[in-house]
Amino acid sequence: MRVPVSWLSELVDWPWEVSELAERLTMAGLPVDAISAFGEGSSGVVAARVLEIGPHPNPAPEGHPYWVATVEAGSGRRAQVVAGVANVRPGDIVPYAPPGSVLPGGWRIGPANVRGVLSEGMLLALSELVLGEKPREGEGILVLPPDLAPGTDVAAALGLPELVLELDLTPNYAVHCQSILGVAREVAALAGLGPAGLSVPDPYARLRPAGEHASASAAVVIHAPDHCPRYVARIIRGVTLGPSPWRVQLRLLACGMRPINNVVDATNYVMLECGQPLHAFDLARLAERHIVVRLAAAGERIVTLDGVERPLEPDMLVIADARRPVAVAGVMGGLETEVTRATRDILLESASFDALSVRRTASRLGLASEASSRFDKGTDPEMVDWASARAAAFIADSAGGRVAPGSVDVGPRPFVRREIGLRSARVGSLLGAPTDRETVRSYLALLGFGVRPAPWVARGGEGAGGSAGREPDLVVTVPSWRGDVTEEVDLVEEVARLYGYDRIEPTLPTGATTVGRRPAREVTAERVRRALVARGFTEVVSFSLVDPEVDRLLGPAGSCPLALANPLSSKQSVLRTSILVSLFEAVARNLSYAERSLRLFEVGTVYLEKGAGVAGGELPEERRRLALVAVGPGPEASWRQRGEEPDFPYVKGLVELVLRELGVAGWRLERSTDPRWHRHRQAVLLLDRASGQGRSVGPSEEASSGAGGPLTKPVEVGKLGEVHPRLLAKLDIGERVLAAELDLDILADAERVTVHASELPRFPAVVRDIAVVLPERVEVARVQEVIRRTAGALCVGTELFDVYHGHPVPAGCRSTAWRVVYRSPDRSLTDAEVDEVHGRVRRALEGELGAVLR
Amino acid sequence: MTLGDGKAEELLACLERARTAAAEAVAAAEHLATLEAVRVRFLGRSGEITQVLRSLGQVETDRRPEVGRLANEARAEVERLIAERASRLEEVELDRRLEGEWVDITLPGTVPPPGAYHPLTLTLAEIERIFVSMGFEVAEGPEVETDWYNFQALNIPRDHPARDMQASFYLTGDILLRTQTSPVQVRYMRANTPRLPVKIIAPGRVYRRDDDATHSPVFHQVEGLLVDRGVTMGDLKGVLDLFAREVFGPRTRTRFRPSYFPFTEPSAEVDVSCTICGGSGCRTCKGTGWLEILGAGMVHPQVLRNGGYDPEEVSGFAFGLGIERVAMLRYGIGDIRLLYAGDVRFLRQFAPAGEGGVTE
Repeated sequence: MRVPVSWLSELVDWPWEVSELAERLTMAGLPVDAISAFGEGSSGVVAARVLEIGPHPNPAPEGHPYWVATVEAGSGRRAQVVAGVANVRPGDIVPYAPPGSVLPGGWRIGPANVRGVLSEGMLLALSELVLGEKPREGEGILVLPPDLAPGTDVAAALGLPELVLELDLTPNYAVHCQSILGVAREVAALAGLGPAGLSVPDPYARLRPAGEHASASAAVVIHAPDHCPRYVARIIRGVTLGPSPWRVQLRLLACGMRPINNVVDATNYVMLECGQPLHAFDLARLAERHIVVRLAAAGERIVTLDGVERPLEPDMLVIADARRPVAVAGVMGGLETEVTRATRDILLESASFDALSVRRTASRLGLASEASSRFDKGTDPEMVDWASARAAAFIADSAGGRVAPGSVDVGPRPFVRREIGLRSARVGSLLGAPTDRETVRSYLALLGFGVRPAPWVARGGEGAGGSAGREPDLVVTVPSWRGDVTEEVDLVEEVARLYGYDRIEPTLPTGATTVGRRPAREVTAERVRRALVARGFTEVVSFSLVDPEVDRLLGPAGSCPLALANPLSSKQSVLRTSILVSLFEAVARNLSYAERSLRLFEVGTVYLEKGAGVAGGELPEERRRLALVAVGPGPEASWRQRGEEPDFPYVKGLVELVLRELGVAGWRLERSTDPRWHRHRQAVLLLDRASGQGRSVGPSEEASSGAGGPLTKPVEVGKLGEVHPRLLAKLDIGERVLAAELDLDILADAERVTVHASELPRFPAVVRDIAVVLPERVEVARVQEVIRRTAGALCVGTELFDVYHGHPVPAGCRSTAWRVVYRSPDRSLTDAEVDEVHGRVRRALEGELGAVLR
Repeated sequence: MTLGDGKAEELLACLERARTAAAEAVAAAEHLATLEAVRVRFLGRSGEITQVLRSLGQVETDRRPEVGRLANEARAEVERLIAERASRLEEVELDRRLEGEWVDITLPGTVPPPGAYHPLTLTLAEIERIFVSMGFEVAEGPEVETDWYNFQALNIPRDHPARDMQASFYLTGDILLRTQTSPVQVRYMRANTPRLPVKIIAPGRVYRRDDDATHSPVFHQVEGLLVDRGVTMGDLKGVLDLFAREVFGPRTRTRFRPSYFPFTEPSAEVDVSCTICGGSGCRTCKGTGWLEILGAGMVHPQVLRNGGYDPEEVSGFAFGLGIERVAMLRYGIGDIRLLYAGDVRFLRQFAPAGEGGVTE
């Protein structure tokens, strides 16, 4: 909201510079975003007297006649100026911009030849003078006061530039501060003056009513008292529409509104001044001169002032005449009954409308106006008649009519000021500031609240004990303009902001000492991040709102992602069901920047419908997931070593790293067949839910043997492997992408490996190596299983230390080299003993697997 | 022994020769291997000095102690010379080896460099560290939330003007993406009533229907809530002061301005002295010297009641902080959208300890 300082100063005095006033308003909860200079930027514009004005000698181009005026700009200096309008007469004083003068926005004026006539500068409309903008439709040359001497600097004479406070009001303060008067009340309180320090004009003295009583000209009926507690109509007869005086126009412009005509401007001026929106109807166009405040009937429509025909719904409040709606109540008037040049008599509306009703209607019609933005926060119910009288007198002054005596005032729901009990001690105890009853009382009084002692205090009940601090000791009457104050704590805030937040001493809470904690899923996420960052992975955070087409690529088969009812765009219209898709998009983007080596991960949330679904009122499941991708050579690449190209063992190693970091027990990988992944290079990570104490880190060896507890179906934690090239092609990724996505919530809850230190071996180990040549598709797990089983209890470890393809190993085969460690807990093994066991292993490999031993 | 009388003299002469020869040989040895040969020649099993010691039996009884003593002395001296020479030669040899092992220390290190944490992660970790150290528990709540928790329980009924400040994404008429982390306040209180104190921070994603250079439809907040007996606005100021100094440095000042949130009363907007100019005014703070970083206030009695606590018995404060805002200030990030673009050229800048590397 824009507050011209000169206007504010008409209502209240303050002892500070404008910058300090702004600072104090800010610190009282009315943030001043800026102090701007309205009408700044013009120079050299002077007052000039029109000597003569006549038509342009050359034939006018179609639809646009010109005039030529001669003006006298002081000290006998004469000039000839071509004008586009002829609303001035010889003798009028007008603003004249001679060649060399400048208008706001850097618009420099020079001599011009207009259709063969030299124009030495311009005669200005108000828009040109203060805004540097082309005149509005129908706007003429500004006529200045006749006593302004030619040659006077016009900007200075008009009081320009005008300082304007730009307030950024929060919705609660907007209730009472969306007017010059409202801000003035705050200033009066801050300056320690209180309501008595305000100079509020008395409109009734200026009414000078004449003619028949208003009720002879119009009738008002309210059919919807809940929506409209009060409606006041005044009649002004015999007006002549025209432009408003320049002072009025200037103020409207300074406040960001457009001058229209002297009637509409008066209603807007009074609205800006006191916050009460008003509307002027052309009385003659109201059928039967009736005002009916009612809800719209089904199928009714109205053409609003902006020329748009709008369908009305049955719960929208309208102002109707005897036949049809003539205004959307509190939002916008109708075109058919607006005041025009033909208007003689006016019905001036000033009413209270229910804030919620206006708010709903305005939002459903998609139609916000200065009026609705005030009504929808609640206007001052005691201001209705004042504003009506003020605007009526205003119109009579500037449009020349006579105000009819009295008003038609219908008020089915009389307003009663709210009373709130306040425990003054509560103020201090909530703020942690020393504020006694008198301090509290005086601050509230400065803001216009009525404050009196509670009856028990007045009776001298103080010191009776028991009730102190528990029973209100003050009864506070809330002024009519503070509809936002409804309970005790609101009063605490009022005191606090006048007392000054900056005066409250910072303290530290004195309650019981507590241990700060973080939930398991957060700790899990942090450990995962740490492990991956240490391995060269970079963390990504991406939007959880994604394109359904992209989400479908990897989301759970057969289910639909949760869709927004009102997305900003289709690209961000569903909640993701997979984190990997976000990473793929990041991969594609980074590849396009020629970043060829990527190690990315994200810890994020996916959203999955559950139970009855959101349609059935059930919130979805939100699961924390880890996704990672690897593309191109790895981070270990250096001048000495080439970076590792990611492959399945690499991504498996990363998954193992994460599981080890978290100490997860009882997991295993299983080959899977998801068509969106590489046929042979994918696996699911399974976690056995059956509990078995003290397992070691690493794959569960007794996979689903059930040895440790009841058999339960293993739970799927996630997926890893190489992504199908066809899927990647849809995202314009031509590289190999290795990826994994794991459910961290499952892992956070998973059984942890517990560490038991075991005794160190007392006898030496005997190590034997063995190389096994087998067809490639015989999995090493099988080889290891045979070794372990046949080596028996003496074997304490098997390690695959080499995999070899190529000569002399036949094509289609590979050689795997194993280190087998034998040890006895109670003696040194002899070579003969080990030879015997190891020989069994060799024979088993040959016999069971058909292996060739090298 | 027929030569008995002359044996002592002969041996002494032998010894003297051997000792002189040994000293020369030791001094001449240029390698440890040569030196070892010298040791064997004089001190070995059949070495020259060893031979003398072995022949002691042939010496006259009366001279035997004297010759024995001298022979032992000679052996000790040669041993000493050899040891000294050995240590000298070892030094020379080590020196020679090291001399051949020059290395270009400007070659890049070969341990793979770490990746990088996301700046939002780093910022949140710092915020959590501060509050956890003050005894706050980290709590969580759903991002897909009911209208009741996101709005109504926080004193924002349908059609309330405050809903204008938070344009929302809806899934159904009653389920939406939370516009703030504040619903966690009520969820946590309801789950924990009547336990005191309630002392939590709740970080998480929030969503608003905005999209430009300073607003993102998805962003992150941290909510804070302390409910206990006798909590004051002074406590709120004290805790946030501490926080601001921890995050932005010990000289940071805070400023509390009255503001409006339906779920706190009194409400405050909290500014910190500009992290760039320190308060004298610059472009970052638009010349005001202050940066708005969070909203706060005393928990509204109705919110306490909605959470299952009696506002007559307890009071509390709450605050909400935008993580992006803090991250952008800490790291001088100009465009919020960089945070979500997944662009490694941006993200790599947050790799641990970038300092000390080769600057190009």
